[in-house]
Amino acid sequence: MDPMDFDQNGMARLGLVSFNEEEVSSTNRLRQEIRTLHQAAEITADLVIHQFEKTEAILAKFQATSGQLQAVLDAASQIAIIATDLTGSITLFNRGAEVMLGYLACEVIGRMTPLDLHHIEDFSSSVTLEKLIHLATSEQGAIQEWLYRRKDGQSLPVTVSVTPLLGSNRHHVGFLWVAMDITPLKQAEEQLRRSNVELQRLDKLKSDLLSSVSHELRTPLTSIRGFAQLIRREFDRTFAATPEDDVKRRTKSSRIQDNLDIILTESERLTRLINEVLDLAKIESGRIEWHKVHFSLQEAILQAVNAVQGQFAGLANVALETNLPSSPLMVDADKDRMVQVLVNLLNNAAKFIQAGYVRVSAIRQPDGWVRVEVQDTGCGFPPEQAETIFDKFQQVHRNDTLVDKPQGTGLGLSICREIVLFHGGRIWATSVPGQGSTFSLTLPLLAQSEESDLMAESELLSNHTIHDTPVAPSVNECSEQNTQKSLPLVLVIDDDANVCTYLNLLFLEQGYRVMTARDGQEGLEMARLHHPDLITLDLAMPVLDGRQTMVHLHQDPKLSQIPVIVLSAMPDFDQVGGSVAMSKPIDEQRLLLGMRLLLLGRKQDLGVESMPCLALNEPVPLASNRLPGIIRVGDVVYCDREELLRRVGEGFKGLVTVPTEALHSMDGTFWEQLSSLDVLILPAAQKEEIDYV
Amino acid sequence: MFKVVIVDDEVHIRALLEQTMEELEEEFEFEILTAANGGDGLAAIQREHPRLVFLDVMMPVMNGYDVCAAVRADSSLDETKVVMLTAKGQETDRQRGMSVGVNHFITKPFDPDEIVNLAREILGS
Repeated sequence: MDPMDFDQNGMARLGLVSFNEEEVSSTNRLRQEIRTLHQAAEITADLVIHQFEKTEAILAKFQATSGQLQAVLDAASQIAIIATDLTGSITLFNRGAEVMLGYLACEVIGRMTPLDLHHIEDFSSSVTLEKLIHLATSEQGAIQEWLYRRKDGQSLPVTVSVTPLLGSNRHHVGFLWVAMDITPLKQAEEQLRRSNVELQRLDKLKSDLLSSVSHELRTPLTSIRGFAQLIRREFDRTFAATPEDDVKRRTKSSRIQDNLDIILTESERLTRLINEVLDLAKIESGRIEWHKVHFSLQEAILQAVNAVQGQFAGLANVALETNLPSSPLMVDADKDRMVQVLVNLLNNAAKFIQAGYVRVSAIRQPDGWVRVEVQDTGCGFPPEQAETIFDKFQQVHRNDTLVDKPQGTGLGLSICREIVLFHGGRIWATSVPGQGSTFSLTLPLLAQSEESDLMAESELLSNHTIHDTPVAPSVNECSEQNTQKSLPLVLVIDDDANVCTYLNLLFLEQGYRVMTARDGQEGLEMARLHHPDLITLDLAMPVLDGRQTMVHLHQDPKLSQIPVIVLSAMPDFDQVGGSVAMSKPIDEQRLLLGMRLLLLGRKQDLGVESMPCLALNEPVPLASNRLPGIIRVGDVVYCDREELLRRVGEGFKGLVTVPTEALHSMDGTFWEQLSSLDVLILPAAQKEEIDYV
Repeated sequence: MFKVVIVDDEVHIRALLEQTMEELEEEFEFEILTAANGGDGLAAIQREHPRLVFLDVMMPVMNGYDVCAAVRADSSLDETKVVMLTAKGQETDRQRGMSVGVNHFITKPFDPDEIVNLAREILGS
């Protein structure tokens, strides 16, 4: 039975007792309403419960997420994470922020803004939170370096990045401030700065000390050296034993002289050491004055070779050789310093060699660089020392520093390295112990176009190379020293006395007879009178220059057959004609080879072996008469570049001739492949071709 | 008779220069005077009008540059040749010396022969 019915019946029964019929019908309506309400309430309660359970589940889920988030925020104790709403009021202050800034989250949330975390004096008084936010967010992803103020008033260097915080509906709801404590970084920076300052101070102190010590050392050294020399002289003049003295006295006397010499050589060594220490200190501290000029490397190499002649003169079984290309290798460098490097490398080579050769080569690299090599057949060094030998006071062959006395100061190679590095180059060494070592350095070359401009300049410089050669008796005196008619007669026409002396000596050494003329006019007269077998001709000369002299030589049927070697530093040295043209500075080897070949064309009795010849005949085809005097040397093969390189690649040994016209069209690879061969550059064809023999 | 003034604060260098110059005694008639600082040196130069002065750079009272500048400022000393004794490779020293009118530079440690040759050239000219 429905309980409602039961109730209804019960009420009805009551109504029957106390209410009339009208009252009974209204009671029924009310009952109906109550019943409806009751049902509605039940449905609502269900709904509420359902809704509550759902909400609870969501809440639980949210709490879990927020726990993770909190964990993340707390774990980031090294990073302060602060969130603000749009007004700047802080809404989140993580554990890291608490630790870093000394505030509790509850002290700041809703009570402070990020502006309160700054030393207000760090900003101008007008700074507002808006400006701060603008400053921080004006650059995308920019990190600001600020000084925060902790609760206890202490300053804290921080990096801060501020990013806009977006709500669920992608609306801008606030900002996220992430700050990192950079105190350790700042401390490290400061420490680094301080040690840097200290290092600079010490470095300057070291340089100053070296400079002043070496300066101070000079004064006593001057006395030691000077007085030793005075005593030596005085002794030799006044006290030295004479042959009439007894043996004992003579022995003592020569002992004293030897000992004084020891003082002198040792004081010179000390002087050198002081100079090198000072040099290195100056280079290292950047206080050296560099004097960069344009010059040809050949020039510097020959100068260096001349400077070490004395040292090599004592090494009877060692040949000092150069292998240099004839076209000038122009560089922009400190010439004296480069010579210093080369002298140093040559000195070094001389120290560790007993027999064989020391060879200086310069090789043009295809990339606009040049490589200079000093190769020796000395004792070499262990390969693992290739790097360290350039370090200060490092020397090879010093297993026992007490026994193996160092030769030199141990600073030479360090100085070389510093100098080469300054010029943008590289220096290194290779060795096969027992067989020899090679020291190589690279330098950037000047651009090709500048080279020809500078060739005139190199004529001036060329005098240096012969400056140190022993001065011969006056040129004319030795002109006809060797009067044996059978020997070839060479006429040197050059207005430079040094060049004349030099060539005179060089040719006499070769067993030629030599005559010299100081201008073209004199040269022509001598040629007509003596009919030389060969003429070397300078171009820039007084009275009659080389160009005009050449024309006269061509026009005179008796003289036109004499081979002429043009030797000049003029840029167009190879445009004048002649049998062979060579630029100054003079490459001895090439000159002598050219002479031998030219003379061989005239006289077969020089004992020169027949030599195969490859003649490049492009871009201009070479007629056979373009190889005057050489034609009879041996087989001449005329070929183009490709064919020539092929033959060279196949191991051709002999002479290669290249016409002047081809000089500019041939690249570095071409020359590199010819580097081991003798190359003759043939002068440009004359308008009026001359008939040689 | 020529006068030669040696100005150097180092007693041994003065002695060395004096003895070195003895080499020329037979060639020239000259008298050597020495001074141990720049001030005395300048006074001696102005008093003696020497033909030749050997002048150190770093000295008490007055350094070599100032001495030389003072000598050059005095037209009655035009005939006086000043040889400055400098350290090697100090290009700036050399330039500074040149700017105050130094005639020749000799680098320390010097070779006595160098001194003799230079002095012979100067006294002989």
